[in-house]
Amino acid sequence: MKQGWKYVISLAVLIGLVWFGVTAFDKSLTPYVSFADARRDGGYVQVNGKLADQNITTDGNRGTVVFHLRDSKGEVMEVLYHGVKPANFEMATNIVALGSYKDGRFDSDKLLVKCPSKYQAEANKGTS
Amino acid sequence: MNLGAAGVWVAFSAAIASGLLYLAVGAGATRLRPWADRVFRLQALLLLGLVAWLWHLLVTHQFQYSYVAAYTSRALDTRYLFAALWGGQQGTFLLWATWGSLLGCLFATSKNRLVPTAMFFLNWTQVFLLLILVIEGPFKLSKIVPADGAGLNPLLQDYWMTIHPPVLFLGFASLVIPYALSLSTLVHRDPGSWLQITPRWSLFSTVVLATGFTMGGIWAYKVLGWGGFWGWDPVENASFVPWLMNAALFHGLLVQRATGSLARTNLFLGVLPFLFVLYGSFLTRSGILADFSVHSFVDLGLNGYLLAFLGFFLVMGFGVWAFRVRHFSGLGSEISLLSREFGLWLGMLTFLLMGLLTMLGTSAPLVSRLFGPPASVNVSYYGLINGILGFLLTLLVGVAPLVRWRSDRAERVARTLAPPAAIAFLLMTVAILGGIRSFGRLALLGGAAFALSSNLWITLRALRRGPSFAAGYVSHLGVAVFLIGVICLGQFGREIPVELPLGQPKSVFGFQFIYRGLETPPDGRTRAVIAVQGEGRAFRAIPPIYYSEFNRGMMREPHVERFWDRDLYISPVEVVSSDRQTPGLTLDEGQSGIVGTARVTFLRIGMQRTDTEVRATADVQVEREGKSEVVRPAVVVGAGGRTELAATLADGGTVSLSEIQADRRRVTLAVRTADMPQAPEALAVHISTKPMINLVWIGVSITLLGSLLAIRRRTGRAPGDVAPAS
Repeated sequence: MKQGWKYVISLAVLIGLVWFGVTAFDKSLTPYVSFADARRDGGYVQVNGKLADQNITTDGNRGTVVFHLRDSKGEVMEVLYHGVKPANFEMATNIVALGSYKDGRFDSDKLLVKCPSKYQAEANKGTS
Repeated sequence: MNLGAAGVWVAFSAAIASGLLYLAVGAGATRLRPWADRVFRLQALLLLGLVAWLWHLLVTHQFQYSYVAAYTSRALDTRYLFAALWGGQQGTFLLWATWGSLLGCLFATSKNRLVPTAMFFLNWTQVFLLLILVIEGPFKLSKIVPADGAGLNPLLQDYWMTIHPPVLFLGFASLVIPYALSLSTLVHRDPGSWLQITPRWSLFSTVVLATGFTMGGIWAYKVLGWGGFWGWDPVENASFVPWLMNAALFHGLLVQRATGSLARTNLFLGVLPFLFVLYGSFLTRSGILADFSVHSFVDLGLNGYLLAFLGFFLVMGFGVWAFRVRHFSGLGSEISLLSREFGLWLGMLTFLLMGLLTMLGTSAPLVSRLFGPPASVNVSYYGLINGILGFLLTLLVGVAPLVRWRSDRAERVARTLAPPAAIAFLLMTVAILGGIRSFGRLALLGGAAFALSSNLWITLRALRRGPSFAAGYVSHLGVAVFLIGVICLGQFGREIPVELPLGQPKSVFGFQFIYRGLETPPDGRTRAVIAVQGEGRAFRAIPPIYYSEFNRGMMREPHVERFWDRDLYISPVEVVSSDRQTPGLTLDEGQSGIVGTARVTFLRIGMQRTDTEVRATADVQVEREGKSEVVRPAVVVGAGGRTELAATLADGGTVSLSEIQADRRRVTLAVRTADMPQAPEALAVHISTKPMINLVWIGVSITLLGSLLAIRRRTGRAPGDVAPAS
């Protein structure tokens, strides 16, 4: 068997896998947008804001949490989150919600809760 | 005088001096070697002294040091006072530098001729880390001395959390050794010495890093309450990717040892893991990912230094490789497609690709900025990428160990592979009957079963020659068991959110849950008490759910009840007080509804806008027991947030406005009349089952055991120094 074949095969497999990886990467990019853009877009995005108030409603039987976020422009948006309220939720300096705008509110399946502590405040994550 | 800061300066000077001395030794001045070692050991001693000094400051509450004030308090348990050494960023640099110096001392005792030059390269990490400590160390004094410190985040006050960072940092620090050996080999053109010393250090890093992130996973599972042990978070990826690169290196070394090929590749792979450690540190510590990670990294103003650190090692590593690599043989003789080395080579490529694509995902906020607005990747990306590449790995892990080095006969390979393949297909059939329909899961399960049976067979065969001969295969077994566990979790794991009213039994997953109320132990961490019964077991689940002064928020931790075949995972969400449970009544303007004994009519909506706020009101008529009254609850939305202003009824009941749809002139009211029984308090929980989670832990333990056996084989004088051809 000629040596060249093996290079061709390896290279083809490698290119295929890299192409696949980069496509998957491109597809799963979740852009960071403002509340206004989230409303207009309707696609899967992430938004970032502070808790607008302590008016947080938990529905234990449906497993949802409803709260209000305010972004840096002062706009307030209601968020419906499906999942366990993450630890540290109420004291978060910043909440990142991933989801899409649906029926008048932001329908979120993942929250990133960030805390005012430093490096050691690892991983207060909430994934539904 | 600030003893700590002075000590850092002295250690920094020692690092510079030992670097110069090792350079001289590497260049031929061998008589300076004892001096170089001595100065390096002095640096290690100084760093140990600094660790001891910082511990002293932490334990004795020297709050004039801002580090002590920021991460501890008087009330903190002693063991966490010690753990606070790596509680903050500055402390972790000290930890890293200390591990680096101790590993260097150990490494320097080796008789290998590559060591002096390698020590010169290794010493550069010490220089950079100590420079960072000089600039932003934990020994900074603050002008104001607080009476008490801020304390340590309660989430971090856990056994596993306390011990896993030192292990991870030991792993990070150790990866500089393959890096340094790679460069030293390139300088001295000595592949023989490289093969003799590198495998054991590469294995050491493998074991330590894997132990570190396993401990981190246990902590996440036990404490964080989101139900998983791995979340593809930047910090996790920053430890996983160097591990993958190092795994590629180790498998490359096996090939090089057996066949003499891959010298160039391996020298390149030796450089990579440490570069990824540095890149990962930069990503996670610089604050660049702050908007995309759950970690709130504070930018200490070190970005320039961290970048210089990374850039220096990048240029030095790739530079030396590029200049010297021509002195090493390339792929060498023809590689047969049907040989063990070809399988290993494909495996290495897969490891590399896994690492690169995982790092690409982690770097998404940086990469996407080049093309448009910053974006991060969905976590599903990591699952997809690593799932598919992981499937390829299971096939390679199943095939490669059964194929002979150099070349093999197709017919013999097919005969050897038939039994494991049959077992894999049998298991996949069982899985289909058992309800697994997802193609991806079936494929991964089949691959894992194939890898498991083929490696089990070869392990048993190798064991006849002694335990250390089975080392690699045992590690593969563990990985296969781990994957099967992960698939079971994904397939059969269930989660149900449920509200448990006080004292009333509820049935979930065949268990009966009764919420008994809250109790507060002396440490102040209130917990919910749930009596659980089922499967012939009765137990009290006591998941903590309490307000933390440090975090100014609620803390929640799960209760994990372990069974042999699964875990029952009870995550508290919230104690729902009675008024929250008032049923909502949604009405259009003019419509009426009944709440208890009252007839409620929504008369009209009112909106007032000012520059700063919007006030929405609803006129509501409430008729009960022949009496009628009109009240006006309101909601104010303004700079201070959204405030509900409930209206009080004559009998003491309340009406509040929980939702307004102004455009449809529709509102949702929460009405509670005085005669309505107060709904009892309830506990909202998420209950989930984690089937076969033990396979995950068992798999990881088997892999670690295998790697430890391999280290023994590489360091001891076992007769297995040459990999056996099967």
